[in-house]
Amino acid sequence: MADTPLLSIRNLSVSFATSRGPFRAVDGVDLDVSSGELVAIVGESGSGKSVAMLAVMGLLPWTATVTADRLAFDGHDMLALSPRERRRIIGRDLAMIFQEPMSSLNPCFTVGFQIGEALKTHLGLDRAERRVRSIELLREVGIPEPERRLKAFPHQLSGGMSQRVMIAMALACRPKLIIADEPTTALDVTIQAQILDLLVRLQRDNGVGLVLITHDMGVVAETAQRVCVHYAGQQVEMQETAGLFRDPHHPYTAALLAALPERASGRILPSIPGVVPGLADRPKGCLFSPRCRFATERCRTVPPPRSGPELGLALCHTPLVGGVPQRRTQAA
Amino acid sequence: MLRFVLRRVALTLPTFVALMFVTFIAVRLVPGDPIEVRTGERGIAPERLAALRHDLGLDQPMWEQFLHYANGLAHGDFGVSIVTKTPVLQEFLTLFPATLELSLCALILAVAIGIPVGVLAAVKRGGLLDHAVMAVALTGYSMPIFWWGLLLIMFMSEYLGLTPVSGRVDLINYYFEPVTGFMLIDSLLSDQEGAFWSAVQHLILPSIVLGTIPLAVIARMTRSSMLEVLSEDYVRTARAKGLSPFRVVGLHALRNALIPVVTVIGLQTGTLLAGAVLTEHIFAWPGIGKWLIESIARRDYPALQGGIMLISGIVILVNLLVDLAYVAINPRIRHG
Repeated sequence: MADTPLLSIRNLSVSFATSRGPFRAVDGVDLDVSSGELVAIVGESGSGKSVAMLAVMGLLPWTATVTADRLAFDGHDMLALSPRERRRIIGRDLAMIFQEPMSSLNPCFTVGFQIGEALKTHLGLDRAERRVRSIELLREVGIPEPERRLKAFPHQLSGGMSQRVMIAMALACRPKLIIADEPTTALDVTIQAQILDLLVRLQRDNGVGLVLITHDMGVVAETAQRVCVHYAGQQVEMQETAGLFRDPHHPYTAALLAALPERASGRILPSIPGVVPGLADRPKGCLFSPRCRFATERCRTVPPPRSGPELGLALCHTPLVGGVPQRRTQAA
Repeated sequence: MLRFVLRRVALTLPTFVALMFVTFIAVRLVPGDPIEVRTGERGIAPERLAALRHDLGLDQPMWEQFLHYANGLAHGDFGVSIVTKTPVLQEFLTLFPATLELSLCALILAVAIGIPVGVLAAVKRGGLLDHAVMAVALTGYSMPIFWWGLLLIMFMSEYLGLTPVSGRVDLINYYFEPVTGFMLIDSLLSDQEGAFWSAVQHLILPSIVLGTIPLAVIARMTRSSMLEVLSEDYVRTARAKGLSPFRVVGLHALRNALIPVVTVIGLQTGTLLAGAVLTEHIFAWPGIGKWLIESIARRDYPALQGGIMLISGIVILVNLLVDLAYVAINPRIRHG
C-alpha cells in the first residue's frame, strides 16, 4: 500500500467544445503524488495546469470532456465515481485552494459559516464543535482574533486574510491531498511569501500531499520536491527539483530557467520569443518547435516521443543533457 | 440605519409634491366636471349649475383650488368624495384590503413560481426547459391584462365551470360582516362552512391574471441573475467543498442572485397596483382599482386625487422597504 501513490494520473486529456470545434486544453498528462509529497506544476498561462487539476476535482463545466487511462485518488477511480460518491471525497480528503481569494469566498456568508459548512457536511459536527474547530483552524493559519473573525464577511478581509481563510477551509476536514492553484498570484508581493510559507509549513506539519500550481520558478525551487513542466496542455518534463534546476532536459524548461532574473548573466534578460500556440495555429510536430532554439525539420513535422526517466520524461526529439541536444538513437 | 431611513424618506418629499401637481392638473384636463357629468343630457339651469359649482369651490381660480388642496393634504386631509360625501381616506381604507389581498396573492404566486422556474432555467441553460420557460415568460409579459382575463374567464369559468366569474365570495350562500377586510381571514372567522373555500375560488383567476406580468419579469430576472452568479468563483468553491448541488445552487448561488431580483419585485408593486385597476374591473372586485375607475366616470376629483396620492405613497413605501430588505440580504451594504 505504501508504494501506491495517493494521486495517480495517466494520460489525462481534457477537451472543450467550442464554436470552432474541440479545443484540447490538456493533452496526455501523467502525474503521481504520494502522501506528504509536494509536487509543483509550472507553465505559462493557458498551459492547462489548472484545467488538469480541476478535472481531478470534477469541477469542470459540462462543455469539458475528460479522458484518462487512469485517474485514481486514494484508491478511488475518480472517473467512475457517481457525482454523489465524488462529493463525499472532494472537500474532505481532496481539497483545493484557488487563485482569486477575494472572489472565491461567498460575499453573502460569514467566514465562520463557510468554514463550518464542510465540517457539517463531511464530519457531521454540531454547532459548538464546528465553532471550536473553526477557531482552531483560523488560529492555525495565523489569523489574529479568530473568535471575532468568524463573524466577519469576506468583504471585510484583505486578500491575504481571505487566502488564509481559504486555506483554513481546505484544511477543515484534514485532507490527504491539497491542490493549490496559484495561491499567491493575486496577492501583494509582500504577502505572497507569507502565504507560501504557511502552506508549506502546514503541508509538512500535517503530512499532507500538496500539488502546487504556479508559474513562479522561484517558488518551485524553494518548496517543491518534484516539478512538472506544462506547455500548451502537454507535460513536457518531470524531474526532481534539484535535478531540474541543475540539468533541464526539455528546451522549454531550459528556456524558462534562463529567463529567471537571478540566473541571467548579461545585461539583457533572456526571453522566449513567440506565444503559446492557440486553437488555430497548432504545429503538426512538437508544439514548442516554433519557439525552440534547437528545433529541426523533424521537430516541426513529427510529434516528439516521451523520453525515459533518466531524461526527465522529456517530450522531445532531442532532449538536452548539460544544455546540449542529444541525438536520440533512432528506434525505427 | 435610522439615518439611512430618514434620508430615504426625505428624498421622497419632492416626488410627492410633483405628483400632487400632476394629478391635480390631469384630473381637471378630462372634459366635463362632476356637476355636468351628473346632470347629463337632461341639462340644468345655469343659475343652479353656478350655485352647485360654487358649493364645490369649482368656480375659484385654478391656483387657489390647488393651494386649498395642497394645504389640506399637508394637514393629512384628503378631502371628501363629491359623490358619496364620505372622506376619501375613509373610503380608501375600506376598499384597500380587497386590493391588498388580491395583490398579495398575485405577488406570492409570481414569487413562488417565478423564482424556482428562473433558477431551473438557469441551471438547465440552453435546454428544452430553459427555452420553454423563457418563451412562456415572454408571452406572459406581452399579454394584455384585459384579454388574458377574458380568456381565462371563458375557459376556466364558462367552459370548465371551475371558478366563479366575479366577486370575492359567493354572496348568495354566505354573508358576514367584514372584520379585517381580508376575505380569506374574514371567511374563516365567520365559521360558515365552505365560505373560506368560496373565497379561495374567487381569488384564483384574478390572482393569475394580475400575477402573470410580475411572474414573467421575476422569472427572467432570476434566470439572468443566476446565470451570472453560477459562473462566479465562490460557486466553484462551494462545489469544491463537496456540497450537494441543491445547496450550491439554492443557497450559495441563489442568495447572491436574489439581490437584483428583490429590487425588481419592489418595482413590480407599481405594476401590480396599476394592473389591479384593470383586473378588478374585469372581475368586479370591490377594491381601489374599481373605485378609481368609477371615480373617473363621475369626475370625483377629491376621490381621484386622494386615491392616486395614496397609491403612490404605497408604491414609494414598498420601494423603501425593498431597499431595507436589500441591506438585509447583502452584507456589503450593511457594513459599507
